[in-house]
Amino acid sequence: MTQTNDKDLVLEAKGLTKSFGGNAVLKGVDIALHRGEVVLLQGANGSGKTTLLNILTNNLKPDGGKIKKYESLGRTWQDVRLFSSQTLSDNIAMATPRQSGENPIKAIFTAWKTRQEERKNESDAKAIMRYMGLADRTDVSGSNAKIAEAKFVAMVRAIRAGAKVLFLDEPLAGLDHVETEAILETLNDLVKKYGLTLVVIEHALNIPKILKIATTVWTLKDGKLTVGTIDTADDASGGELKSWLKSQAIDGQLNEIDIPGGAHLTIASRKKDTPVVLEISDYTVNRGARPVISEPISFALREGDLAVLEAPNGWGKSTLLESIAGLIPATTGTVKLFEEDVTTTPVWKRAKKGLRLNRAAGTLFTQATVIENARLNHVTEPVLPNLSNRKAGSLSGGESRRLSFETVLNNPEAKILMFDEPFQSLDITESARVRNSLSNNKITILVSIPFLINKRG
Amino acid sequence: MNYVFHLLIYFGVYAILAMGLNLIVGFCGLLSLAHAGYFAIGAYAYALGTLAWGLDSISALVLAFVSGGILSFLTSLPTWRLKGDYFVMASMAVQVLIYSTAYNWVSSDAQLGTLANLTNGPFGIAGISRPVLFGVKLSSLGAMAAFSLITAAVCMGICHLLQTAPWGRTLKCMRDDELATKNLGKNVQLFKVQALFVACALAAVAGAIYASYTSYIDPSLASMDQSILLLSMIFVGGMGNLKGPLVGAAILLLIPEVLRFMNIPDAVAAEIRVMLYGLMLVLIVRFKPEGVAGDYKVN
Repeated sequence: MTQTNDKDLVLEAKGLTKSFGGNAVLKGVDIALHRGEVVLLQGANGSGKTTLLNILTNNLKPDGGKIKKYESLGRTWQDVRLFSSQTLSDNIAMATPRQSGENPIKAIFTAWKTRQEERKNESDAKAIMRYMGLADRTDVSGSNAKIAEAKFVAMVRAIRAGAKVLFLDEPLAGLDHVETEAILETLNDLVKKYGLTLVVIEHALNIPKILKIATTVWTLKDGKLTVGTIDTADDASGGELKSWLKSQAIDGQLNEIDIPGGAHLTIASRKKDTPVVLEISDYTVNRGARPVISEPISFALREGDLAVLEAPNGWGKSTLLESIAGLIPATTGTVKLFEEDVTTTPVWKRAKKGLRLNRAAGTLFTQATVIENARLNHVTEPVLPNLSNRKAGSLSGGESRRLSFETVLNNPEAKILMFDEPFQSLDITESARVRNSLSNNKITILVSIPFLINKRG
Repeated sequence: MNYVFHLLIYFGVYAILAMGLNLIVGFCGLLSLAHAGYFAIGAYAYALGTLAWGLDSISALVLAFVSGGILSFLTSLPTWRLKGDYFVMASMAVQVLIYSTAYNWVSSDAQLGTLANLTNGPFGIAGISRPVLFGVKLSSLGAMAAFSLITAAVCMGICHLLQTAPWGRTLKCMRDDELATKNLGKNVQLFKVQALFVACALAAVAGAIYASYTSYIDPSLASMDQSILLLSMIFVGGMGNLKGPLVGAAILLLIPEVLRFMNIPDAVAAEIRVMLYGLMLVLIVRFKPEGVAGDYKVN
């Protein structure tokens, strides 16, 4: 840990407690954060990492304890939360504190002056975009930003608002190797050149990457925070991907298919001489007028196959899976389910034929309880038994992922399952559990993941 | 020609109303059903100011503006932390409150404009005079149309300055993601209060012009039908920019006028007008959710 004195203290918390519905998540957490530190905040899914972050950034009231702040704080979210109607440049410009044009009286009566100030503000925002290597993306709207761009802008926006201490919730989640390296370099710069203090939450897969810049590790376990060493991270879908898939194939052989646009499909056949159940031919997809998968792709999965689609971010993994499920119409090509052409069949009819999609987010009925969510998927086995009567919307990020995954995986009516990034945001134990569950379910499964390594292993 | 002037006067009034409502719905993302209430507040303030309290037209217009602005706190303060359905319900309560006040604050024994008889209740207020500006009475329809359009142009200028300033941008950010805006150090509650102040004050100005033109007002100005008509204007025309509300005001104003030329009996035309409004809303929601000229799609 960095040698510090009290002058360097930027944030101090004592005895923080927080419970949800009788479940104690934080049981007296003490924190001392010093200037220039890069803290990795780790803990199992549901350990309270996001709760602690929300409390420290004043987004959630603790039940007990005290917090003292000596510097201004800023944060980013796992789901980024850019302003979708604003350009990337405006996302940064709006964060500037004390803009006179934010006062409606000045905006009307000293319009000339406020406009001059605004021009300077916009030019500063564009300069920041250039510094980040995004000079040609200033006018892209927040809703059309690529995930890495959005994460860069979210970080810089918080700093522009005056943050000296930055809390980052999964800054590397969903990024490929090149984007991850770029974010890490920027974070390193922010600390070394601009003296920022960082607290980073990351899931197991990305912990080794954050450790390259981390100076301190906070571990949340059983509601208590300790400063110590970290668990070694597992690589659920990077280097070990191939060996895991090989272990699933009946003959140890994998069928590898290069897909246009830099994607790759690896198929492990788990049953012998089975019929084709899902066939995609010459398939392209647009989202509205925007072509997402523009080069025709084709592949086929047999009954019992376990397939992993690896592709860089922005390739259109989610779009492809949503289109196969019937949520987005195909632009060209066909989808066949059990040899029947379903290209124009509505989503509910495809679901009735046994095709199920588990999207990366927004798959739960948030106002329904855990048990109701399970029953809506015809799942009778207990899922999250200790939380059966909790509303799905009140679950932690990890618990939500698990409920969503389990209810789709165990749906007795499902014959073909598609999972969009099922390893995202999972800790080591959860990643292993997901892999085991995928291994144990012998129906046809298609999983999408981002490229996590530079070249496939 | 008088017919055209009449339409232009109404266009000015509805354009101001729609521009104000656009600030609440299109910029703050808050669906308000109380806007007609503020329209009525402006009309009553102008009528009482000129008829009962001896104010000249300009002072009465200022009184209408200030009344609308200050009474906007009726909506903005109780709804400080509300959004979505809760805000809609709260705004509906404000609309009912204003309508009931206008309908019930009456006493046949008391003079108009006193504490005992502020609104003359269901009988309304008649005999409201045309504005007198700098010693010139706007008795002709042409002068009244010019007054209405010039006032609308001034309101448009104000809206333009506000919407293109960082103030307008922050409102849009707040609409996109209130939590993220708050976390960037913006006082989102204050922005909401300010937006509602401006929008309600503009609605009151429109009410004052309306009262001075029609010379008679009653509580129906604050009815829910009026609020829904105003919402229809911005849904059809579009929100989140300046031109959408103007286009919406023009379209919804012209629909009954088109029916007028089709020799349809008045009673039937009224029904057809409502059906056309409904059909148009359905078509807009289905095929162009951001409206004819807007750039914000209501979720």
